[in-house]
Formats: sequence, structure tokens, C-alpha cells
Amino acid sequence: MKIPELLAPAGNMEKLKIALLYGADAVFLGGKAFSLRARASNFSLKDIEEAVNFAHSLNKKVYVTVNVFPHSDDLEGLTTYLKRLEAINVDAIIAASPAVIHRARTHTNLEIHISTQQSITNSKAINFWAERDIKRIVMAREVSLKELESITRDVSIDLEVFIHGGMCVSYSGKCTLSNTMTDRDANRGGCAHSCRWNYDLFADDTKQNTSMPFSMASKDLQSVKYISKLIDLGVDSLKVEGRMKSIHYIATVMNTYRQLIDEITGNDKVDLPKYLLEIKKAENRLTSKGFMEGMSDVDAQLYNLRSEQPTQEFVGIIRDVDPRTNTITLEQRNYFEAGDLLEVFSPNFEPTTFMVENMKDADTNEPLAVARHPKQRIQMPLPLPVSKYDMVRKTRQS
Amino acid sequence: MKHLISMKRPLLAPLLTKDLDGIIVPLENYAMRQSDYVPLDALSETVEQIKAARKAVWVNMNGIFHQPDLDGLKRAFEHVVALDVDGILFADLAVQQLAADYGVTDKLIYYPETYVTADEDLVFWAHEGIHSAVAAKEMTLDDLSAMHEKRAMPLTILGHGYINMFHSKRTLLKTFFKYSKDKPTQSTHKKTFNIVESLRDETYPIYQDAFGTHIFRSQPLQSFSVYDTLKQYVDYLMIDTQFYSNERIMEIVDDYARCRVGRAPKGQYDDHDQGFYFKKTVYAQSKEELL
Repeated sequence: MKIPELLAPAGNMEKLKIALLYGADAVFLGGKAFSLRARASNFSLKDIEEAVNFAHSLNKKVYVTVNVFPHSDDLEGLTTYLKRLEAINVDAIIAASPAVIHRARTHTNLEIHISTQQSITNSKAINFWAERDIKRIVMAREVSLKELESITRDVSIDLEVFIHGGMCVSYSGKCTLSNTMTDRDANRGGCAHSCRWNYDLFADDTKQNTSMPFSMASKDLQSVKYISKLIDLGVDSLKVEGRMKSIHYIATVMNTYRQLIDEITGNDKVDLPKYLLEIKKAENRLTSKGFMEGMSDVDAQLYNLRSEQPTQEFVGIIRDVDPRTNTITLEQRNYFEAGDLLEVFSPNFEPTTFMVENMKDADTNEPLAVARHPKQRIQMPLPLPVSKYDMVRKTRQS
Repeated sequence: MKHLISMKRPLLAPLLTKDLDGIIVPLENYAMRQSDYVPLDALSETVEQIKAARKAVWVNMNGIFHQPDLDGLKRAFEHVVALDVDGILFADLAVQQLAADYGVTDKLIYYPETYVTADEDLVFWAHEGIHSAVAAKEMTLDDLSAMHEKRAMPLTILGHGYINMFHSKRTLLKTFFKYSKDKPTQSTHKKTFNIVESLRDETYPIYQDAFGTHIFRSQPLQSFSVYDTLKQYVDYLMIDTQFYSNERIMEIVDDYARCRVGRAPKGQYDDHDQGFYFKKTVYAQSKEELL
């Protein structure tokens, strides 16, 4: 049984390290230019080099998105940029524009993956790129498992499939709502998410939406129950979206899918309810099965944006551990207080609960009854085999 | 610059008498976002009619095709090839693969709507041996000039009509009514629906069909005001007929014929705009941070 790659988003260096430490086999990230998600904390070339060195030291990979559709005058500097990426030894670029692909093939030996911005939905389109030395296709999110089963029979190229995270409600790369409504080019990193706005709907001059605004927003994708099938189909890479998401989200999602993949490929009995419960701890937006079972329906749409709430479960990340005194230094992310029952969440052991006691401010040494300030550094005893980057969150009882 | 128009069946005969270089035939089930569709079994007759009028025939097959569509696509493509048409508009690379199998890549016009944005895209497609590519709808006149500069291949644009700005596979009207329990006053398959955003005094046509849900710009594009500039860069100007009355379509065709001979259009186009010709969209690129 082939073990697929688990591919994570990396919005910045900390998220990259968290993703790799919590189970990702590879990460994708954007550079300062030629990448979509312009508002994400994209990487300079120096950062990319550091990221590649870190990932390679763990025998893991880094893919760089060069996935804009550039206009002619945007192409200046592209060849130099691609050559630098090659020199840095990135493992592949993810591209959508034929102009970018043409440059990369002409001037470098970079491995090229075709971005989901190309919205590839069938085996013939895949084979077009396979015949042009492309190594991998990132499939359109609109492709169902049944379609994928047929596709995998007809192609020999690597396939990458989205399993988790946000979904364009449009076919990716085909939307210019943002261009038209806000003068921001969606295909050059400026998407204003106009598809998530509220509208009124009319038929001729008669208003049709009487009870609520018309909306097109999609729920996020969540694929825990489909991973086994995707592995059976021989999919090469399972991709999680979300370069803008929090470190807690990245850690929880990576850890969940890592354990799930390992359990399935290790022929262990799979405890799906456990994983479904675990992945919910990362949710800040409702999720659905997307197109996994075929045409998406009303249950995949997000009509009440008030349901989009940041999770309050994550209370802090461990920044330092003193093994002599079993004391941790925790960076606070959400309110908690002495006496709370919290849970340590680690890539190295099962979640373990403990009670908060003897807190003090790490900088002033003042005793604390409550931790109320974001980024406050807090020391407390914790007699568990914890490591830097382990996280602390509330239990369901707290 | 040659003029081609997407046909509506009731208008084919009068269109063939007009100063047009070609007719675009939207093939039912394989073309999308068109004012009318010609069934496969009527294609032969339609093509012959156009050829008899000594006009070029482009068959539009610009759909996005999923795996179960491929067998039907192959049969339809074989049929189109047998008719020896002058051009085949396509967006899905499955069509390019079929054209390669049948040795007709030189008839292809790549029409993905958003993907042809740079001069080097044309270089790429020229290497593939296709005839032409349609520039992305959000191109400025400067972008079109730059694309023309390398003269890699003939350049096509959609120069007139309602421009699509969104395509989802989802049936967004149907799911909205299902969730909200609001009752639509008309069939959701009619092309009479619009959406309005509260901060913008603009009305965007929206409809759903077998390919999903489509949303269009508020005002249709016209190219009369920039015709003399466009003809320096563009080889083929396509006129789209969606949402227009038959009378208005004939007027538009006549007005482009007037432009061709240096005369002003007779019709009123105050309800049209110039699309992206002068509207540069923002790109947060920071070239100084590249190295």
C-alpha cells in the first residue's frame, strides 16, 4: 500500500515548523512575488532557503507556489526568481500559467506541479501536462471520488488532492468577481472574496430573498472519512489548504491526518469517531464533504457567516521546557485560570490532561491567578514529557 | 481584424447576409454561456449553411469536462472534425488531446477566459501548434499591445457582450432557495435573475445550467470606442449575443461593420462600458523584494 504524502500550508516560518513537526511530509509556501494569497505572510528568498534547509534536515519537502497568471509586464524578474529557487534546492514549484511553466522549463530543471488554479477535472487534461514533463497535477476540488477512481486508471502522473480547508466556490482560476467589483486581480494575489459577501437576489425587478441575504460562500472541506478511499486509489499527495490559518489549526489538522494515515496504512483498526472529534478542535468554520461524494448540495454552503467563530480551545504554545524542574514556559493565546483542566497536545504522545496550578509571569516572576493577556509568557509546573512547540488547549469539560 | 459572432438559430440566415467574417456555432452540451445551442445532429446542416455563405465556421466547445463526459466529448469531436470547420474554440485541455489524436491542433482556438494573460502564454501555445488564443477578459489595451508584440500567434478577444466573471459547478440558486425556503417567482433556469451587492449600485446577471452557476458583469462590453486601437493588435474580434434581443444583435453587427470602414456606430451604447481596457487591476507584487 502506497503511503501518500501529507502536504501542509505554511504561511510563515513558525507555521512551517509546526506543520512539519506535527506530521506533514511536505509544505507549500508562497514567495513575496508571483504567488497568490498576497495577504499571507509570504516568504523572502532568504526565508525560503531557511525553510528548505529545515525541511530537508527532517527529510521532508518544500514546494513553492508560483501560481499567479502574470500579465506580460509582470514577467520581469521571473527567470531570475526561478533560478534562485532552483539554487535554493526547493523540491518543486506549483504553477498554473503557461508563461511561468514555459520559463521554468526553458531556464531551469525545476520540478513543476500544476496548480489547482488550472481546474483540471479529467484524465485527458492530466495527460496533456504529463506529456510535457510535468510531475504532478493538483486536482480541481470539484472532482468526486468516483471520478478520481476512473482518472487514476488512465494516468501515471502524480495526483494531489485537497482533503481539508477552504474552497473557492468558483472553479479555481476562473473567477474575476474581485477584479470587477474591487479592481483587485484574483489571479494575481488580490482576491477580495467577493463570493463570500451578501447580496440581494432579484428575478427581473422582484426581490427573491425575503428571509435572508443571498450568499454563495462555501463551507470548508473536511475529508476524515474519505482518507482510506483516497489511499486505496493510490493518490500521491493529500493537501491541506490554509496558509492564513493559525498554528493551532495547522497542528491539529496535521496531527489528526498524520495519525489517521498511519493507522490506515499500518492496517490498524481505524477509530474514525476519534479523528472526527479531534479535527473539530481546529474548526473555526463549518465543514462539509465538498464534492467527495459527487455534486455538492445545500449542506456544503455557508449561509450564516455568524457560524464562523475563531476557536477558543487553544490556550497557548510551549516555548521552553526546563526538564530539571519540570517547568514550562507557555505563550498565552486565550484566557485560562488556575484550577482549569487543560490538555497538552503534542505530536509525540496522546493528549494528556493536567490542572493549572502555581502559575507565574515568566518576565516579572509575579504569581498569577488568571492568564488574560495574549502573548504573555507564563511559567508553570508540568510533569509530562513535553517539548518546545507542544500546545495546550482546553478540554471539553473546562 | 476579423469579426465573428456567436449565433442564435433564428438569426442565422440574416447574419449570413451581414458583413461578418465568421459565425461561432455553440455546440449543445459542449459549449457554455451562449445565447443558443446547436444540437449535434443539426450541426452538419448549420455548418453547410454557413460555408455556403462563404463565411468561416468556428465551433464552440468551451465547456469544462469531467471524467464521465469524455466518451461523449470524443464522439462529438469526431463529428466536428469530419465537418472540416475552420476553428474549434476550447477551454478544457481534453479537447487539445483529442485534436492531437486527429491531427487538427492547427484548428484550435484556446478560450479559457482567464488563463491567457501574457505574451509568453501565446509563445507556449504557438509551440503547441494551435491557431489562436483568446486573451483573458481582464486585459487592458496595454496588455493586449504587449501580447501582440511578440507576434507569436493570431490574437483573439471577446470584444462585445456580457462578460462572465464567475463560474461555479455548484447550483447556487437552487441551494439558496432550498436553504432559505424562499419561493422563487420564476424558474431558476431562466436567465432573468440578478444579484445586487448593497454597496454597489450594480446588477449582475446570474443563472444556472448544466455546467453550474454563472455570473456576469453588470454592463456589457463594447469595443466601438477603441476599435482603431484594437485592430492594431487583435486578429479576431468575437461578438457575444447573450442577453440581447434579436434586433439589438443585428444593430451591433451593422455597427461593427461601420467601424471597419471608419464610420461611427448608429446605435446607442450608453448602457455598455469598456470593460477592463482602461482598468488596471491591482497586483501586490514587490519586485524589489525578489532577491
